[in-house]
Amino acid sequence: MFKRSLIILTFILTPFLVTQAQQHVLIPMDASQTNHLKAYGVIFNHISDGYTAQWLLNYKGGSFLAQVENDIIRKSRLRNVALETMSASEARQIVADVESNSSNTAAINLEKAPKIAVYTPDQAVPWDDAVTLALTYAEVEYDKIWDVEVLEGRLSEYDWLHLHHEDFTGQYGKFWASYRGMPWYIAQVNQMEAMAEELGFSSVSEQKKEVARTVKRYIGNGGFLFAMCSGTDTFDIALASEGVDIAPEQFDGDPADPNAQEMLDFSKTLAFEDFEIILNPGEYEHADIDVSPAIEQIDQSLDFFTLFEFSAKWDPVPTMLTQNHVSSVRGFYGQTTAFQKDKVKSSVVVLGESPGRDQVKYLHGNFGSGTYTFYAGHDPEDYMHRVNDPPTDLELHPNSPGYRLILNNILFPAAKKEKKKT
Amino acid sequence: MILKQLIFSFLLSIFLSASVVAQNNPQFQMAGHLMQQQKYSEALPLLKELNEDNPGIYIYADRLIDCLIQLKQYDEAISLANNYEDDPEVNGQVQIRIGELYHYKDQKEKALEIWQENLNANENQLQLYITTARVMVNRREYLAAVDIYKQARNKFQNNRIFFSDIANAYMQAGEYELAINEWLALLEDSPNQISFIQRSLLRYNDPILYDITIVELNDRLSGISLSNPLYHTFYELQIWLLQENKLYRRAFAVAKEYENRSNSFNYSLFNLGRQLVNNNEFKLAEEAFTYYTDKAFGEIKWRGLEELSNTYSVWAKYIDDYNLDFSDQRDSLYKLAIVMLDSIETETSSYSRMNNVYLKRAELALDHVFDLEKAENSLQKLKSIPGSNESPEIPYLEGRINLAKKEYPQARISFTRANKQAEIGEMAEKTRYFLALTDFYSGDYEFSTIQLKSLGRNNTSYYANDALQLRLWLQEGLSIDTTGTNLSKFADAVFKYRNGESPASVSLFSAMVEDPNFLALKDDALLFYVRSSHVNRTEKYIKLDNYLSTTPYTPIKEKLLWELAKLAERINVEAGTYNCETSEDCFFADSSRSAINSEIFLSAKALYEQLILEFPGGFYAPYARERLTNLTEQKS
Repeated sequence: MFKRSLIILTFILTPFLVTQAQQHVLIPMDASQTNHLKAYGVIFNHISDGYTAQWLLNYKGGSFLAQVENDIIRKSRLRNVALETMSASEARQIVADVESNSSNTAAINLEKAPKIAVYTPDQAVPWDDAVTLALTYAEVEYDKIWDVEVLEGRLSEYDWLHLHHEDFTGQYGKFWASYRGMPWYIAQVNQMEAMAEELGFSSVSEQKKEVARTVKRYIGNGGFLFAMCSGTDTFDIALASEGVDIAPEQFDGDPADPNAQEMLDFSKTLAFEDFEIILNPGEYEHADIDVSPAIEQIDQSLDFFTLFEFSAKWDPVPTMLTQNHVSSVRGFYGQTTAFQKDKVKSSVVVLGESPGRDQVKYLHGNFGSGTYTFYAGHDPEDYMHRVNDPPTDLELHPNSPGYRLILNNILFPAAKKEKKKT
Repeated sequence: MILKQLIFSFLLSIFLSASVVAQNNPQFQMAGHLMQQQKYSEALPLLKELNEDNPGIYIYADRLIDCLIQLKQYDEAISLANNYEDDPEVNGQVQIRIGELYHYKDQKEKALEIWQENLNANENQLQLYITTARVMVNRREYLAAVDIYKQARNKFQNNRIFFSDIANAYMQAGEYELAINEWLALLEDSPNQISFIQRSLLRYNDPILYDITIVELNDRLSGISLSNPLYHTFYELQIWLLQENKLYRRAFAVAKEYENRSNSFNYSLFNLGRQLVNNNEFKLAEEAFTYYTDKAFGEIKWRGLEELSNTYSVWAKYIDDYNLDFSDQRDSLYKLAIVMLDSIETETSSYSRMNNVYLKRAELALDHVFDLEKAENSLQKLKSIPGSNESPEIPYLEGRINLAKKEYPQARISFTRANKQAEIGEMAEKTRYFLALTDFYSGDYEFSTIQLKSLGRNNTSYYANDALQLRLWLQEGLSIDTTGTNLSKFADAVFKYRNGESPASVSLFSAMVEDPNFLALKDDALLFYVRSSHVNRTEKYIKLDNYLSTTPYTPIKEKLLWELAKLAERINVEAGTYNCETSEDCFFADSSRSAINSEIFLSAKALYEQLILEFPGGFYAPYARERLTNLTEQKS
């Protein structure tokens, strides 16, 4: 009775049965990949399901190698992720080539998927978050947490934390000049002030600074932090201004401390130093860490930043973070667009910068037992994202190099650390 | 009296000139620059010196107070301000300053008390009310500021002032309802301010604010009579907001109520109906226009029928374009479009837009019901309308009828004439396409290709896809058989398919599929066969499935797989088994199904997956992924 159905099923399953015998699958991440972003999701979920994979750094754009199990071929093809099937011996040969000392490549074992938290408010905001977009598109699960959860100590439940365009100085993104009459801004201010009062803080800025200090302790204890846009520089400004009122009266009802600049303590920051804070409430900038907009000087078509190349075998972490199928990535604006190079601490590893412009776009550093990565700009596929702009549809950008950098960050905590033989 | 005015003017000019002189003082200007640069500590000694040297000039003291505030030296600022309390010229301003300083010191109650006492003492000075309220807004005492504005309204017995100020203060306080009420009060007072309010709401672009405004408008609309001139103003704003928030059902209800309550037609549902069609809300648009066809007579009713016909046509095309026809709804919609136009024709020939009615009716007769007689009849009626002789529609329709009768030379002449008369635009492109089609049907493939080249230059044409498909048939048909024998058979079948001889065309297409010598265009013939409504779906499924099993490498396999998956989905939807995961599940879901049917009920999901797996980057892959997502969502 089911003869015909079985024939059809056999027809469908035949390719799988053949590939099962081939044992391995290579997901290339060079220009031949049809959907780079979904590829990260496929591998991340493969690891989450308890299987292992290898990240072949600098090999075909940072490709992935896994055994044919957990329906990985079907899952990939349904998501338009290009892959190559191969025998175990072919896979072994590729790994051997990658591990050979003659090339700047390395194979990294991916074993345990990190538990992800995104620091984001409950209320809907009129703009979007590139990381949330990327994770959702790649089908990677994450939890949302906010100030209450952070201050309750829930960060310890997560391996990886993302901060996006948050203003840790308590100045509400410095949208006051342009948007103070908008309902979303008013609602945000009212909600934040109510929360600060409920949590026992004298002002929103004090509350946000305490959140920043808590996150810093989380990194010190081994957490991975990834911040974008104003979540980067305002985080360090908040750390530097502990005990100093840097918020003008438009934000907290009283003027900033007269000597606020002199009272900053740069030893408390992660990545930046010697910056000058901007106390003008009408200026859409927190400090001189962020570069000034150069829309008039540099055309969008010429706005690029380049990724540095690291030794895959000796510097695997920066190498993982810069895996891409291109070496130059299109620039993009944000509340924080890029970091002035002279404000970046010497201990920080610069991963990407705009050549000849003394601007750092992407950086990485260690603190205590953990690490942090700062990626400036708001949305890699929306050059000048403005308030109320529609969210980016990643279906239109499945090969986005800028978004790939975000997803490198969620995968690198899954890498098994191995001691190098010396 | 005149002397008094002269003295007042003299004193005022002395005061103003003193003020101007004071502001031009270089030291004062330097202090101002430093303040702008937020260098308050550097500005402080300059301002102190100026104040000490010129204690009678309040502007220096005022700026010094500003500087002291920024340096958080509130007590010193209060003490300085107190020095000017007895100066009658600036007393009012000084009291506002003192209140502000106490507010900075977090003594908010005391600040409010000082501000109120100051107003009580200077109750006839409107400017003092304004300044006090503005300082209050700056100190985020929004509701207190509103209170001051309202006090001023009462005091000066003018309810038409401070609409915007009060609304903005309410907005800042987060009291959106009150802000909206203030705007609506402004509208009541000045109905011509509707565009100002629309602009304000657009600037906020906030759905919650829109919702609140809708609720408030609803309350107001229910409380006033239709004869009130404000009703129409509120209605316009309400309808606009409902559509902005995509609340089409509510917009319809509001428009219908407005129409119901009017003694004569106000056409609110007409206007809304057209916007609903533009927003693809066809069902509601149908209801909107039906209102007039049910209740009106004469010109209004006929216009309603014409709009209804247009709605059905657009609706059917929408279903076609988005591949959404899962229940043959498209054909029934076209029939309804025809019924509407026929109703107009039955009732009148004096409708002012009768030429449109005849043209649309003829096109529907030719394209969808294949009633040649009716098309000819409509053409004759169109010709009888005075002044219609010069319009390209007449030769175009003549050409269409000639084409349907296989009178190819006459069709060519008519389409060429229509094309020349139309010159550019949709009619010109349409006639060019039909010229190519005429040559295709008549076997003049070379001419057909030439016509298509001309049309191809308009690559944004509405007919670009049809033209491309025709070109592909010509290329493929002639590539294997240069004599065009098979292409001729194929063209004949297509002609029959499109001209009301679908059962005959199905036999021809079926024969082409079965004929081992019919090589080129076999896949296209199969596509026509599968898309024909005259064949049972199960039969179509079996033929297509067999073809794919025996011909694994057809050039349009992806398209055929897509059709197979769609067929499976439709069969499963009809059988109520669309969510089954495997053939066995599908079979057991309907035990009454025949043995043959049960074999084909492979899950549509599996077929969509097969399509994606075989053509992961193909044209249909994104659509198949979308269908998979929809089927998964239906299941969950």
